[in-house]
Amino acid sequence: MPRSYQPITPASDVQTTRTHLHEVLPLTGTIVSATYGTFPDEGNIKNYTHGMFQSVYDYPFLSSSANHIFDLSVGYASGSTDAAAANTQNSKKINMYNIHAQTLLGFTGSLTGSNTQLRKFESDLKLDQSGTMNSCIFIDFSRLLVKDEIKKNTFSLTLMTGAWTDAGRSDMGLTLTDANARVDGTGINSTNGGDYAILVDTTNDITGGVVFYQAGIAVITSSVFSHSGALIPDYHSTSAGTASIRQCLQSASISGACDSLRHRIMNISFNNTTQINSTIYTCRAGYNSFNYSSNPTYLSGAKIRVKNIASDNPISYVTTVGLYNSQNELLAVAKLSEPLKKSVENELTIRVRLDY
Amino acid sequence: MGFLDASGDIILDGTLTELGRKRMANGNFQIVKFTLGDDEIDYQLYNKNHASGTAYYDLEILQTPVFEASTGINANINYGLVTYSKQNLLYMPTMKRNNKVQQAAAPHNGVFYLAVNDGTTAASLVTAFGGAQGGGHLKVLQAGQKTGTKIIIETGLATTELSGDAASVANYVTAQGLRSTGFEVSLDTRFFTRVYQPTAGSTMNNNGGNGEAVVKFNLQATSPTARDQKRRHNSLATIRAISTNVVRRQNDAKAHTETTQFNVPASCTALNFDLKIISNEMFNRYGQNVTVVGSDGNVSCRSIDTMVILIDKTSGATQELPIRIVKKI
Repeated sequence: MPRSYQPITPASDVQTTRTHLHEVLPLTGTIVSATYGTFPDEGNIKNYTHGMFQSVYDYPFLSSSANHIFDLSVGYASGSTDAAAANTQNSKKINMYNIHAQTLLGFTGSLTGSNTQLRKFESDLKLDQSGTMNSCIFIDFSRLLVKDEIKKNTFSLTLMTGAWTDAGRSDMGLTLTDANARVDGTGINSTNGGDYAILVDTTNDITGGVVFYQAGIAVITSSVFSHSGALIPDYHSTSAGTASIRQCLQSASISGACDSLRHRIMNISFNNTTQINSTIYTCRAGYNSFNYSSNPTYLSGAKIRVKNIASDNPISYVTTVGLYNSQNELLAVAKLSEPLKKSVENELTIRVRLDY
Repeated sequence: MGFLDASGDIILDGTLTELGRKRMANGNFQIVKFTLGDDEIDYQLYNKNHASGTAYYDLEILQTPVFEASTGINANINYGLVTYSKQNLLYMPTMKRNNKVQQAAAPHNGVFYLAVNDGTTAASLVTAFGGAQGGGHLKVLQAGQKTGTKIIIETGLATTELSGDAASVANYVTAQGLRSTGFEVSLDTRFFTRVYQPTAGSTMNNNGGNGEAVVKFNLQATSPTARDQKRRHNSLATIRAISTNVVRRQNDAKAHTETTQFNVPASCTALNFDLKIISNEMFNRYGQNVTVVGSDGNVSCRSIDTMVILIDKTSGATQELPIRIVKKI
């Protein structure tokens, strides 16, 4: 039962700090296709009966050690040239576009008036509904990977834009990055979905989509799968034949379009961010404090073991710091890595950090 | 010329206890004080006679491995470092049960028997333990009784290096502030309702006569007022400490140590307990049926074993009192 306490004064002994931790997350294309089975039926790819998106795991998802890494989906805006009632899963593709758009961008005009319109994705930061991206691919990263947000200026997505049978031709790829975004806020805009930036291929000067940092979602325009100004004709391939991405978005199911996308993802990498709020409690043990112990071994009979005569300095050894509330309830504990000598000859300042 | 080590500050990562997490969830997490602990340290390893000199006295202690933090509220700081204003203390009080004065309870096979107040259990046990003539009454505490047998606990300096006279007490106890200011009693409130403590007029001395004890403990009830944060079912009551004024005097016919457990006594207290009405179902759930074997007979009882912990608020000295609550079948 500890009986000697020292006060912790909020004004001078308690500090709050915020730290951002980053991890590098390289996702190679081998994870997303043909590693855990035969394309397109790999064990780490999960399709759902609702058919609205496809989940990618880092290991066959029936295993308890599998981690969800991202979801893939495709969609187009209602009224776009790709939308047609005869399309496969037409309403679901519109629905997927709308879900992302209204969550990440919101609406234009009066939110209660009759002229309210869904804001569409744009290939710039203006939010003026010019340069809209009407047909998109959505990569929704798991919170497990993104943590609090994707670190700005670290996102990179390399897509293979070669022919179906030779998708990864070295001269037929593009790498979309958020090269213009900066942590200080340069090159980004903010909307309902948080901060976002444009994804560009600086080599080919192509704007390919946008990335939402806090939401952890990359929105890629379907037109990136083109070469020399024309859509690649065999973006998609089935036993029925090949199709461009436009044809694919119209005729293939969402999961089928996602399969083709997985076939063309070469690499994804970004740094995630974990924001850690810390409170540091400064515990000061003065010269005359905590020099004795109530440890049962401290006495031999009644005599203090560490002394020979009364004028010897009392000595104790610290292994633990306990933090208490006003009701003497132990709320937090910190342990030293090795015992620390405490006597009248020294004063200890121990800082205990609690992370939230 | 080397660089000075300027890493005076030590930064540790704290671990929230289960109570800390609960307080945080409730929105009343506020740390206002700290204490230091040394539970892993075995001070017997401090070798004041090390042949290599003072730098080696605590070598083994400093090599003691330290456990990781636990989230339990009772597995981190059980004893703790203590601050005394005086740095020249050489002796510190310990705690002992007094078995020398009248009415001082004695354990039977290491356990204090506490009879429920049913009118038959206590009498049967006293008889089995030898009756009043054979000291059986000292082996049975009766729940709810302010008079009669009680547990008497003393603190003092367990050393023969001091003479034990009034000057020793004055210099090594009183002047050093080692008289107890009170005791904390931790008891399981599933069974106990109240503790009986000495009244302010209680005395323990050998001031008169030829050194005979003048011991008078009148008891009064007090209730636990705070939860014991280290023991899940326990609460804490504070009971009064009485200064022990039993000292060695010249020419006394009786040695002062015939009254007190310590050569240099400091304080004492006395206690008994009151119990809740404990049903047979509770006895079955928390205890067992036992046959109490005494010198003059056996008694079949329902029993619950529990531990009462007594802590000197001044020195931190602690005494565990194993209690067997019994009810005759």
